[in-house]
Amino acid sequence: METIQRSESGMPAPVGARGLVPRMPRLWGRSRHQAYKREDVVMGYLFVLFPFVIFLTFSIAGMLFDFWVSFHSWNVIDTPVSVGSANYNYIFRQDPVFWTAVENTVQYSVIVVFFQTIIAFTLALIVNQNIRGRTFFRTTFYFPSVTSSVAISLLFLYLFNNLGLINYVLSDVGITGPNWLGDPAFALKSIMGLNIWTTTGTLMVIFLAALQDVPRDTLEAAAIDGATGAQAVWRVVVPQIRPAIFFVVATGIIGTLQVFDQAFIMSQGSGGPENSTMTAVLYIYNMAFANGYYGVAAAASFTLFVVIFAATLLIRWLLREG
Amino acid sequence: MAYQVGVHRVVGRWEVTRRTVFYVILVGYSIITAIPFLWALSTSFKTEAEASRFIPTGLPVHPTLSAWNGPNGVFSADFPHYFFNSAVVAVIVTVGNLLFDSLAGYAFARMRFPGRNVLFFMVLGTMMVPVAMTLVPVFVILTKLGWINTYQGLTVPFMVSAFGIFLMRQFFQSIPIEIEEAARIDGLSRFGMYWRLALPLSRPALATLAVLTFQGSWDSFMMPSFIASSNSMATLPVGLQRFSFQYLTLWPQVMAGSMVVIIPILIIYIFAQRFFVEGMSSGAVKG
Repeated sequence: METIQRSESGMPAPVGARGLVPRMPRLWGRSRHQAYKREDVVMGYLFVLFPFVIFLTFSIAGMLFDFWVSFHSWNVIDTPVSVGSANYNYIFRQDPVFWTAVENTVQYSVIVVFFQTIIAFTLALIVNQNIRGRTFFRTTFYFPSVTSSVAISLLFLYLFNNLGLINYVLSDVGITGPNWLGDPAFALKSIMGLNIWTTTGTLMVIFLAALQDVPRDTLEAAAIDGATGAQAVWRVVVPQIRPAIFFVVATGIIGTLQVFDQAFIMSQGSGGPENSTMTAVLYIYNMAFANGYYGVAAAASFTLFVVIFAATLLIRWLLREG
Repeated sequence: MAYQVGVHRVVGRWEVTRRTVFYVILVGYSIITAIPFLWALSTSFKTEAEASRFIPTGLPVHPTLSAWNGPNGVFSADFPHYFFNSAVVAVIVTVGNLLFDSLAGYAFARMRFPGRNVLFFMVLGTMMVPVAMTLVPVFVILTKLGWINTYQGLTVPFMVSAFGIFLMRQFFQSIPIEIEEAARIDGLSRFGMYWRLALPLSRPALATLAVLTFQGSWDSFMMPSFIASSNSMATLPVGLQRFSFQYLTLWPQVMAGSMVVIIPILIIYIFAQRFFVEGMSSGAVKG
């Protein structure tokens, strides 16, 4: 802690400390020995001014405003009317679609995160071996996640349509494929498949970066001790890359709980068939922009925020040290 | 993956099988990754009848450019205009992020002023706010400003990012402070140190930020879909979505439109892939 604070105050830091030690700056107060420089204070505020205007307007004020709107009935044009908790009452007690959306979103999140994490980790373990063409595989697997979600969803809409390539391949091996996106039992699963396909490559890159920091001799020692490959992975590798696992699972859950683009495109904006692809954000979006119930949309989005926040804390607790 | 140490010949044979299985998995997954793109590209050169057949043709039997430049083709529809909007928006957003994220990142890394750390934690805190929570407020604020259907509306709210500030701060902290102390003796001002010293030394971090920001802006859909409610301001993903909802069964055109969105990013990706990958893994492991 001592060395960190010293380098914070501009004193020369010991060799090796700079850039390697993650700094936890103190929240308040200043270091005792040095007064603020006038130039730094003036220029410092100037340097951060524009970002803070943007963050305060669109993120921070936006969030507080959203919370406020959630207790009002409002169509953006007329004066908002205070309605107490009616919007929350509506989504929790009166509108079954909201619960369908919540159920779909949670199911979506759990299944997608589970499969994308497992597949990405397996691929990373393989690519981390002495594999020829490692860069090629990494480049190929990563590409889908940098492409437009709208374009990718349309590609999959074509593949999954009733007369599409997937059903043709299935018919080739004697299976009559379902009407993927027209059947409530399969529509959400199709979107899950699309999402797993898109994200796996990104997660593999993250796992690969983490695996390269696991010392090779730790693994070899485990093998000599008679641990089988699977045990070595579970007992030696997994604990060492715990931060990467936390990152992948946490961002996976936070991201999938907000799935929108794919569900919007593949259901033509409706969340159908029979609300089977209605997700939380699609519900919020349609409440606001299709129906004009901004108060209800705000209540739903504040609920989503609480859920995401709770999920993050839960994962952190589950993956805590020791 | 289990193997016994000790019997040499067994290890050898097992090793060959093991490696074969690995390559089969990797090549198989590469094919799964590539097929949707290749299939869409091929379809964009087919006739509508050929694209709708259940027994598909791999390469187009009667290759045609009609999905590209025919009636309703992407070159004759509004796509060139969407492309222009997307390019303008992505360039402005990228330049904005390079400038403002690096300024703020530099202040947080190097300058001391009251409340600095509280402000930095606020920046990190905004990363926790789900986009869905800002849908309604952003729409309302932009409506009040009269910025719906304008380039300002499509760019200004996205000109700074908490991730970018964090990335630049990390990088600036890794530059030896002694360089700046020497510059100070030479009489360089704070802005001079940022502009003439820190920025030129930060080219790799700036390249990463530029590439990730451009890609994010180019692909962005949800916010632009209501900020650009009129087609004249639509960006490519928004325009493509509207086109596809109107003409879903015109598969060759829809696939050609998708290619128009994907190919520019593919080109950037081929030339700058190391920045994509570095940006992702640096944010992950340290963040």
